[in-house]
Amino acid sequence: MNKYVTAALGLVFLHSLHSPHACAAEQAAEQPSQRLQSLVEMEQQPPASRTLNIHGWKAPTGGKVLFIRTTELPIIDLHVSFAAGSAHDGAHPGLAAATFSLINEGVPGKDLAAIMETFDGLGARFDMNINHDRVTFSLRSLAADDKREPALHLFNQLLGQPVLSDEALKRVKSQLHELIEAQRLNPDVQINQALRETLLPGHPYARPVFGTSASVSALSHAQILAFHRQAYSATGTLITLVGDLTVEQAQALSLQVINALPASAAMPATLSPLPSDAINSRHIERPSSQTHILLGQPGVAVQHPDYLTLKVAHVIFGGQRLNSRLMTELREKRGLTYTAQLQTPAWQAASLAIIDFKTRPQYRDGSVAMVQTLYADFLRDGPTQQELDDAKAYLRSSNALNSASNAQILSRLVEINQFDLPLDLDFSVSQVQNLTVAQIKAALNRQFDAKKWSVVTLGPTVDQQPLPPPASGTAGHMCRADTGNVAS
Amino acid sequence: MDTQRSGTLLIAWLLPLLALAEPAQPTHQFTLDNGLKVVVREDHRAPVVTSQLWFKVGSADEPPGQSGLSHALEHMLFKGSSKVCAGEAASILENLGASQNAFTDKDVTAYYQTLQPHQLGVAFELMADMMSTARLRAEDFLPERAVIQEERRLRVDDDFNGRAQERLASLAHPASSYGVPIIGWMHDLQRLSAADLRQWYQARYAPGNATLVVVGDVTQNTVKTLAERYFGVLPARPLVESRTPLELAEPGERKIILHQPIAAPRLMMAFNVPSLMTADQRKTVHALRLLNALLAGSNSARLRKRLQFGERVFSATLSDYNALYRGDSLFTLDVEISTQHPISLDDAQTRIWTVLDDIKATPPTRDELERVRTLLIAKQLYDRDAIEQQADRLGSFESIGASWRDLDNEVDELNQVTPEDIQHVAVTYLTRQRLSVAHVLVENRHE
Repeated sequence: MNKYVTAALGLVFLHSLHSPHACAAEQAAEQPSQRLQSLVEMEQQPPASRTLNIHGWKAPTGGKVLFIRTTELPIIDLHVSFAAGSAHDGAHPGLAAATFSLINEGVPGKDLAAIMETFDGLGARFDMNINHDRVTFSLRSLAADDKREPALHLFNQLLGQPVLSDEALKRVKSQLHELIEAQRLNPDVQINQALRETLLPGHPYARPVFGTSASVSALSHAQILAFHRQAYSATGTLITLVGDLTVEQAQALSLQVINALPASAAMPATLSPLPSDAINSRHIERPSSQTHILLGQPGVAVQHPDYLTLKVAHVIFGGQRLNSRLMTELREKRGLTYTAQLQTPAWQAASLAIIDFKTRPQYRDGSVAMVQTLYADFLRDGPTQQELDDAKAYLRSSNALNSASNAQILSRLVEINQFDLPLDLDFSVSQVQNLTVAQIKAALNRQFDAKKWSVVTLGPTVDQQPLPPPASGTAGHMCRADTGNVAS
Repeated sequence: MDTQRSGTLLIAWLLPLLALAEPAQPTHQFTLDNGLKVVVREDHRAPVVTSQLWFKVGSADEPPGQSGLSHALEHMLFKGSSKVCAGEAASILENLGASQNAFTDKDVTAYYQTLQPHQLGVAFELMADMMSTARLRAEDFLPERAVIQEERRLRVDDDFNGRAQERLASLAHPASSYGVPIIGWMHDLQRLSAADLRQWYQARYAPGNATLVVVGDVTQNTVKTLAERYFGVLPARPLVESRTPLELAEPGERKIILHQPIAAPRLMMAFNVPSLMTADQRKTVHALRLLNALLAGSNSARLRKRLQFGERVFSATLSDYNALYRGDSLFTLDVEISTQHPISLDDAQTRIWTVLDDIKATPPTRDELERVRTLLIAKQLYDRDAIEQQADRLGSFESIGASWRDLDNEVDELNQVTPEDIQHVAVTYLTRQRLSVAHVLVENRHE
């Protein structure tokens, strides 16, 4: 519908991007590291990481298990996943979601309510999720035998002996219809769906996880049983464990999970999307006080040699931090948005780069043009050495910080398990420490093109206005801490 | 027979859980000469520490017409002070790999940084500078006010849930300032000025009005030395005592009707109830917490079991009771009507009242009580997993006027609640005179 005129608007304001890196007038000319005593005195030391050994093993039937032992809190976390997400729907959209939703509807002797009561009565937390690639089931339990064992018993029953009755399928279909309708009206779901359809046309990743109303209605009980038999099997199961267990206990526990499952042939791998050069823009009309804007391009899969390099590049451009280029230009200087990010959602066989923000409707075209220009500059020049040094330090330290809780450790270990990464929590971060500006620039230009953003917007159509100029007082924003020599 | 079995259950539980009540992690407190209180909890699992500076000021304290003042001030503290330029404090922390942010609530404003122990001095020096010498310039406030207005559009104006919550809260607090949105009304934001912020900062950011909470791989001595050095040099300043926001005991039944472009109608019910600080006794609060878990705050709760999993007339069932306020709180039930088995919101309300009347007429069984008690006690242990969560609990208790030491008694106190106590709080507080209702109807503007 609406085409974007990515004309000179963005260029007008570019002058300000290159203003000198000056501190606010009243600041002393000295570097912040000298103004802050604590920075001057801070010992230079490499971030101390918590010693966490990854134990890994494979079951003869094909399940893979990763375990990290932490004994300080008497709790355990168990995470089990299967390649049974919606990308495996084949010709029956909603098949994976319906099968997944049936899992906790009943086991022999217990209906849904009784299952919930049992977990609650043990103080255990059961959770389940589905995405395009996988379904996951997780359990957090107290480590004490009398709580852990009955909770695990029920958990294994859910995985290995769900009733999957035709009666329950009717209820599940009804829930799915409800979900599909709610998602249809949810603007965030709508715009992300539209972008995926634009970037991955015809690919299963572009389809909604829950299917469509018509396809869900058409699902048969026999299809569900067949899908469950194949997809919820020991072959290809990923088990991740963290907590207060000995290695022997963890091994026994993982065997119980695996033995509860049937063995069958592995699920076929999802094919990577074909490279596409299409650029499509789309506007979804909707009354709201902000316009939601997404700019997207296909990225590279996690296994690609450029993946980590691009991840660092995108932390610099639009990572989850106040001093990324996107946040500096859109938020700090112009007050156009509360938050703006470049996200890189990754599936097993594909990934995307998505610039995501919301702003007032009258600045839609101006801000899209400005973001495109910012990215073009980034491709042309690459990051600065300072930006790269800062990003490396940031990644090193935040890696060390992400080992404090069992929940953090679990989520990192699940990622290692799913993407078959080396068994080292520090692997990704150590890999990027030797990257150079030139390597980042080269990888960016190999994989991305400043002219190939597909743009999807959702909001009201109003007369477009030029962006407000950067606020006068904001020269100070460019004053940066010189932590290159003190950061650890 | 049943009672006998649950009797044993209870005892089996008490052993490990009483052990929990022991302060497993050493916790220390001291107060600097300028009045800043410091609480340190040692947690040596990983070489990480979190530092949270809590001020006893929030949206409930704001003068009429200046809603959003505390939150705007929180934003502006990052816009430069004597040692750092605008935006620089965040940059320094981010480049150290720290995770850092701030939040504003009804009673409190808090700033937090999670970093490595040897970096703790940087967090202290920055926070000490920001709390005492923030520049709060008019030219920085203009773009930042625009950012806050975008934040309001994002979180409230364009967010159905946020908007419904805001409207219900303003209805549910006829006599206190708790009905004012934390982020502020848009018309108030529009007329907020840097001068307002400076005045608020002068009045409320005294060291004696703050608590520094540090949890992680540190000792009392290292924290004390750093705190004395960076915060100890700030002069003591006079304090403005906050008034406790109090509600009417029986404001009367109130109702609002909203229309939103959502898939299914929604019913929200909020009862005026006391908080930890306004309850006649602590047992009342624990009984309300258990009642919340028993009615809708857990997967096996009565409303979920009967009306969502059983009769399937609800597609989502939630409830909330937060006791950690200086003033009176709310007990909230929130359900979404199933579009597959549609019933009217009046019908939904009648069905909910039937469940509430049940518990008012008959105390829960011991089994049911043990189940929700187990849930709450297990949650307390799970919450110790994240140091930020621990610091959040310590900071909340201290900032509303309770003591962090009270946290150590919670398991004991939960264990003393009887089925009759639950019945009693249900009879006392789940009444029509204390009820505010929001009916959120489906607006068909897109069809």
